[in-house]
Amino acid sequence: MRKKIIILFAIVLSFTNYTNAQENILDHLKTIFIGLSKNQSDSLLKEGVKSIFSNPDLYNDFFRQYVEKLKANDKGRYTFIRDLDLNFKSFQSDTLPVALGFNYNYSNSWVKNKVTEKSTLLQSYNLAFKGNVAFKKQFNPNDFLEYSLAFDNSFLWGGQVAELDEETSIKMEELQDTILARRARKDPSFLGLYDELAKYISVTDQFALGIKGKFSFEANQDFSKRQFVPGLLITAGAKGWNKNEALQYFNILDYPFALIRLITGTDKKFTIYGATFPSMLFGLDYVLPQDDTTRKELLGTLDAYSRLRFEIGFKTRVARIGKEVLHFSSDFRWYKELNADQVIKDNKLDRSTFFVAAIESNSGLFVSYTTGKLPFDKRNDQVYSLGFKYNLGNKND
Amino acid sequence: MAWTTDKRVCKALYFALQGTDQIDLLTEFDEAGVLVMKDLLFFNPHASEDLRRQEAIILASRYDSQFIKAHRASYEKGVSRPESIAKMVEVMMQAKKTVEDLSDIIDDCYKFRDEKNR
Repeated sequence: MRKKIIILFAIVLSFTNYTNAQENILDHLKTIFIGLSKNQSDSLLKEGVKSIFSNPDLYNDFFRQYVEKLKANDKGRYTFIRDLDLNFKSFQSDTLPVALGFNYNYSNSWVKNKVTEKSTLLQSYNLAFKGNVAFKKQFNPNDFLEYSLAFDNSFLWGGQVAELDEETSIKMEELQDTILARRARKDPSFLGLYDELAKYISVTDQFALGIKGKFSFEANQDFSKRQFVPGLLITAGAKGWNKNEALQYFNILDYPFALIRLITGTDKKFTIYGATFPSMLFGLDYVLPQDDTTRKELLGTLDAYSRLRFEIGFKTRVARIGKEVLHFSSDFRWYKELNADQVIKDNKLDRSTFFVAAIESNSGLFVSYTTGKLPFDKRNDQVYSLGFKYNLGNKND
Repeated sequence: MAWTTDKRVCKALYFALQGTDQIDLLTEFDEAGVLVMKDLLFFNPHASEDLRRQEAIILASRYDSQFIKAHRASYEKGVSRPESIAKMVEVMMQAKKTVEDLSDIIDDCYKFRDEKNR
């Protein structure tokens, strides 16, 4: 039994990078386990197995090694798996036990271009898969998978940089070279040159409007509930690029973070980022339920219904602490069934809201908070996640 | 292609990322090349794919204007403004693509001054 425990720890430790630390820990374990009774070592083994195999880091390590093998042996499958953006994690909610699982996110598109003079119109077909899967499905607090195909039309106005003549353009690039040279020799005076560089780039504020026809398939993770959802979406966004215009100051969500950046010395002065204006989405879906026992029990039928939806997303920089840059990102979604039956309203199935907020570092550490429910979720849960995301990398592809 | 200060395209992208607050001024040139898209400010990993695409399109359009009008780059033969934007968007939509990957695509679409003078 003691041997089993030591072998178990040896397997787990083999997935870490610290060889000396592994050897020290194993030496300590061997010393400790010599004095244990059989019952004690059995109990310890059981707890050890439970603790180790409920840790998402173990699976992320296995997955990372699998992807690295694919990279060497199977380029096509490696590219797909890498783009899948798979992360193992533990789901923690206030009403359900901790559950181990993963989330995935894949998107690809085919572009069809249209050229106009003053504004730009981009057209594309987009394919996307996204969802959360728990290994014990009954403990999945974010039980919603979406597969979609969309035809996207994006109209853009502004964001135009004032044209420089050849001589001025060369001067600007020479200034950029000077900044890089001073940075290379650790001369702190490079920071002052950025104000001078900014004078060369004069740019207008930018606005975007997207109109998208979308056909989605939505399901819970065991597909016991599923529905087709054709719909029309409108996205809207703006960027306050021009530092002399007022638009940037309407980015009210960035004010508390501007204060944090100032206090932590991340920014030299109180600066609202015009680049972090939140983006919004409005949509009208026509939902065609295919299998939904809850609706069937309540209504007796699975009639189609219309659904309104709204989403707003926001991401900004919180602070730089040494080499670590912390970002705050959040997303709020609202769904509302139109002309819902009273029995649907009474069971609070006519609307759902979902909110997620996270602070993440470039190195992969993250803490996140989720509340509310997406369509198919049975209850409103507050879900906390804490973990480490692996960047699988694709530097050489 | 490597991420190097010998190429104007890399330098132009580095300063464009800083000028649009995607990375801060303390991010060194070498560090910037290995950053992935989800490290940049436009990429919200929790938003829907619909919102992320819009953010990528806005930023790519802004960079196109900066490369053409401030750096006086020209499009490579057979490449147009919408195609350049679309190619940048495709890289930007993938969380694990690096800034160096983005610079490669930009290099395929634009001819900067150092390339013209060769």
